[in-house]
Amino acid sequence: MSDLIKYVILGVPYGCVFALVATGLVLTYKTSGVFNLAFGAQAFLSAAVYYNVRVRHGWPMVPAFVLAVVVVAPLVGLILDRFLFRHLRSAPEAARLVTSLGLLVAVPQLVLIWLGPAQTNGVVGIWSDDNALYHFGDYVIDGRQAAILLCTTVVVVALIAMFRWSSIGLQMRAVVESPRMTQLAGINADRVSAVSWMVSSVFAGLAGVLLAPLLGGRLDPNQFTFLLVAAIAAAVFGRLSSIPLTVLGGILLGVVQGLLAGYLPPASVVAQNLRPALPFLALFLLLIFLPGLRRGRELTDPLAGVDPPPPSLAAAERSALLTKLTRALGVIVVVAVLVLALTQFDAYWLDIFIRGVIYSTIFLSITVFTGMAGQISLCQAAFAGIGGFGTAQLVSAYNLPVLTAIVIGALLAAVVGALLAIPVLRLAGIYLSLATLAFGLMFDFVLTPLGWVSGGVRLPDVPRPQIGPINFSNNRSFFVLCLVVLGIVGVLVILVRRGTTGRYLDALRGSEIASQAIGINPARAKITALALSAGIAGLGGGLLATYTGQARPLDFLFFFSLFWVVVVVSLGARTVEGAINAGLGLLLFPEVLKYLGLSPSWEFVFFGLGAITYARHPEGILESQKRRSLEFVQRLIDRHRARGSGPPDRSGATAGVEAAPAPAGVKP
Amino acid sequence: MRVRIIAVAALALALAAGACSNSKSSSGSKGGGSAKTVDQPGVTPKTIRVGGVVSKTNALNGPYASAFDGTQAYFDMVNAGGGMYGRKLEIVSRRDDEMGNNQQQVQGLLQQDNIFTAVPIATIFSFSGAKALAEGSVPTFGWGINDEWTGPKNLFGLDGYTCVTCPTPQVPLITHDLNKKHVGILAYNVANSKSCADTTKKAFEKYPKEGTVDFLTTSLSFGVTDLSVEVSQMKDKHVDFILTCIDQNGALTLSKEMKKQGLDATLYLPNAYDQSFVAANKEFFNGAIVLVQFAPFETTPKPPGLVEFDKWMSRGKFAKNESAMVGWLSADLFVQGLKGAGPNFTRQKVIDALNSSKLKNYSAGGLLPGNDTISHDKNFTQSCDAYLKIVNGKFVPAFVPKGKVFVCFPRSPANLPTPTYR
Repeated sequence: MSDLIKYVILGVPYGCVFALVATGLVLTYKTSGVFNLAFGAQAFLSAAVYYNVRVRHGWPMVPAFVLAVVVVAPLVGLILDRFLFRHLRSAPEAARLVTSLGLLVAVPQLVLIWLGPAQTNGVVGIWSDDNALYHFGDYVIDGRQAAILLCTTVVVVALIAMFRWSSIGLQMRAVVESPRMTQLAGINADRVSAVSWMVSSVFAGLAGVLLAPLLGGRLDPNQFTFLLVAAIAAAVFGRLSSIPLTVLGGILLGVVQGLLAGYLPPASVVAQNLRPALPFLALFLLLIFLPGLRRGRELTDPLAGVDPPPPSLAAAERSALLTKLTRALGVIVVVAVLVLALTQFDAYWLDIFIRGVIYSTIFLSITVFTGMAGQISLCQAAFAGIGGFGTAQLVSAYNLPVLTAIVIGALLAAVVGALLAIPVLRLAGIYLSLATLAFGLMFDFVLTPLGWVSGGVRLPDVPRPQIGPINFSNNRSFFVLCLVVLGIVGVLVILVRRGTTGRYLDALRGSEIASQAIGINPARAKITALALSAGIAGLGGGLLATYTGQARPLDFLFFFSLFWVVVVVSLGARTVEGAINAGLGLLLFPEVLKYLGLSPSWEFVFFGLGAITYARHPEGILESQKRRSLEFVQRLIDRHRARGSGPPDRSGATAGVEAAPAPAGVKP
Repeated sequence: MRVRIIAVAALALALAAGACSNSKSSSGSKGGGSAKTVDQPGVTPKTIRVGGVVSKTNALNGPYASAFDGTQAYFDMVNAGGGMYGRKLEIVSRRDDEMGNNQQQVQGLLQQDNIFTAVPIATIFSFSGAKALAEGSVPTFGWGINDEWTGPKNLFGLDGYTCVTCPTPQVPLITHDLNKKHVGILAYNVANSKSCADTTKKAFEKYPKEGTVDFLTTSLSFGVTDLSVEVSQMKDKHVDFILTCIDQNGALTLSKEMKKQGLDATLYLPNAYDQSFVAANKEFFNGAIVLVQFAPFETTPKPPGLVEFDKWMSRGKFAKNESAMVGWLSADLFVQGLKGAGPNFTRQKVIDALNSSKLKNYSAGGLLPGNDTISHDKNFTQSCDAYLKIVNGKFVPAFVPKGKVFVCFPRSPANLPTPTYR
């Protein structure tokens, strides 16, 4: 057998793994309109249930399989539909994406808490003997692969048949296209939606149980996430709609991986970079170059790209008096924290607040891109990493002053952000987010390991800055520096929001086509937004590297890109205050958990579940509560004034609270 | 051992692994009786308070929290004998750095927990709190696998920090003993893992008679789940010995693929001294070689230190594993320092006692090889490790004559050395 044929054949079973997961993604998207990033989390849940009863409790295969795939998986799907996605059917795509992102963060952690600290060795599959070998000439497959090949074939054929010939398949597709039209035709859209979610969840459960034995000897949710990302490329190859093309895309990906492994010198620089990057590179290139990918929905639904304006900020609606009171209170709180930090906090609490301030700075980058531009970037940790690694390298290799290095690192991140923005400009919504995810993963898996990026085995030291006689090696003085940086960036963000760029972004967020009609250049606005966002993240990354003394890869893992978005949108993505709340919340919440004697994993659960409220409160939970509080206080003030002196003073308000429209698709 | 460190390192990103060393298991306490007044942080008339930081929450599902169990078991033993200088040894703080928050948790240890010493420290990625402990001159004991253990005289990492870029005759000695000639090396595309591969390759270039590296890949991404092509190529090149600079899951994927394709080669797993993992996958690891840096639990006859370890771990109903041994040895070394410091002990006296020549080659009752136990740099004169072979899912001591535990050799001899045994 020639090497070429051998490598192609070796790549096919693994390609089927991609195909299986990718088909699940497409199934969910076709039947619910949701690009379900939580698919991997659902698969992990079923794999964990199967493992628990099969391995830990010794159940036979069939009842264990039935429980995990036929009972738990569809039940989860039903719950997701009933309590979440049914209400998001016509919500902005960003809301659905954030919701699935929240589940991606929360569900695996819940499962891990449930599984407990004991090791999860000895994962088994559904084949009678996972390790049995079956020879086909020179080629051999084992039981795990046989199960996947068989199940993939059966399931794909069944799905194609269902969509093509069964009435429920037709109804599922109809509900996604137009729930209202479907209901007018006498079909219960809610019931169809529930069935869709249950079917796709069964698929996720099946994928989890089948794939777990392939993903090493232990249950690891990260493995499911990695696999999911690779499978996204195959799903995009099928344009999120064609199951046969998706299967083909998965198999092609597996084959190309096999060919690269076979023909590239295994220790070469090219192999070291290209092989791990292949799925992400494939995804990125497919997103950029696959014609007609992004406009599909907009062609069939002219209003698909039009989102209602978000509610105005709570701060914009209060009276002049309340504004003064709030600002005075804000100043008092800031001064009090500053005084406490500089005089009372011990090193531990000072550390928490310094990190909180640094993360607040990083989170302002999400305020710009998500809060202002309405887009979701899933690579903010990569931008922070560029700033951090850039700072470290500039200091160690070129002996630059650390403050200069931080600024250059931030500029470098901004340039990368701008360069990234150029190809992804033609994308929007989910596709833009996926492109940023691909970039973030490439950065984490391919660039970060390189010595010239992160420093390799021995990370370079990053000293604290010194400005004239002021040495910031002391944590208290460094805290002040971080506060100053946060203040400057915060003011910058406010100025941008109030300026032309902010208004352009607001308009683009509502409707890009309408914005263009009134002369707004979307390319310029988007490039500015992503470059500014990346620069701010890079600045925060540089500060973090300076604070910890090294730019550590662990601080910039791609998972943090997902988690940070979840944290910020949970607490408030549209305001500087929201970013500060998120930064401090990220660091203070673990202390609350510790006080309560709970596992640190609950932090992911808490914020992950918080993110699923995004559709109802796109301004964030705290911002929403702030609005309520301000309304309450305003009512008290108005009532007090009404008793005494004439009409209430609402001169500072820009819009009535009551006038703020609810996000589309969210039931009141 | 260098290899082992790197393998774990590869795990969570570019982490580190390693093993342990240290301390003698002196059961019971010396210096009991009424407590003298000692004005030191964390020392009360009745207790000596200690605290540790471990990566309890970790992406590897590793039982690193067991380090606390090992320390607790050792303290139980000492306290059962009356404690130290009339005081009980007590772990008052068990902090979890969740892999990435070491610096913060160490600050908490120092600022909030009122401890005399930091024990155990077992962090798998970065010991970023080392600077604070060094600046505070706090005696610190733990798993010396991170770079940060090197240098400060108050940080006592078990086995010290090992040079990951120095080609030693370790792997060539194994291939020599096994009569293997065609070596394959697999590594992730992360710094420590690549360094492991490159260093071993250099070692074979230095000792070419012991084999040639016929297959080397450093392009695997962490979490790789398909090694079919790599195995196929190794089979074509008749590789008969494979060094894995990758984590346990990666090694399992490799061995399953080897079995599938019929590649009969001996695996060298620097990072697999994990009884439950090996037992759960026994059909795939038969004949594989594993490295350990303390006397393995399977050693017969058991050295006195291991007897005490078994006894007190069982009494506390703690699981016996590598991390627990790290905790035990860390506690032991701390107690040796206390003994050396005397009843009027201070942090500095403990540090000075440990750095005196008396404890340099401390063997912890035979748990450690007893060379360069206390070392703050990479300049070991000799390398000593224990080796095990996996037979039917169980570990069996290998490469040593009966009654010996460790294989020792000079660190960087010009020619392949003849090993000595301890």
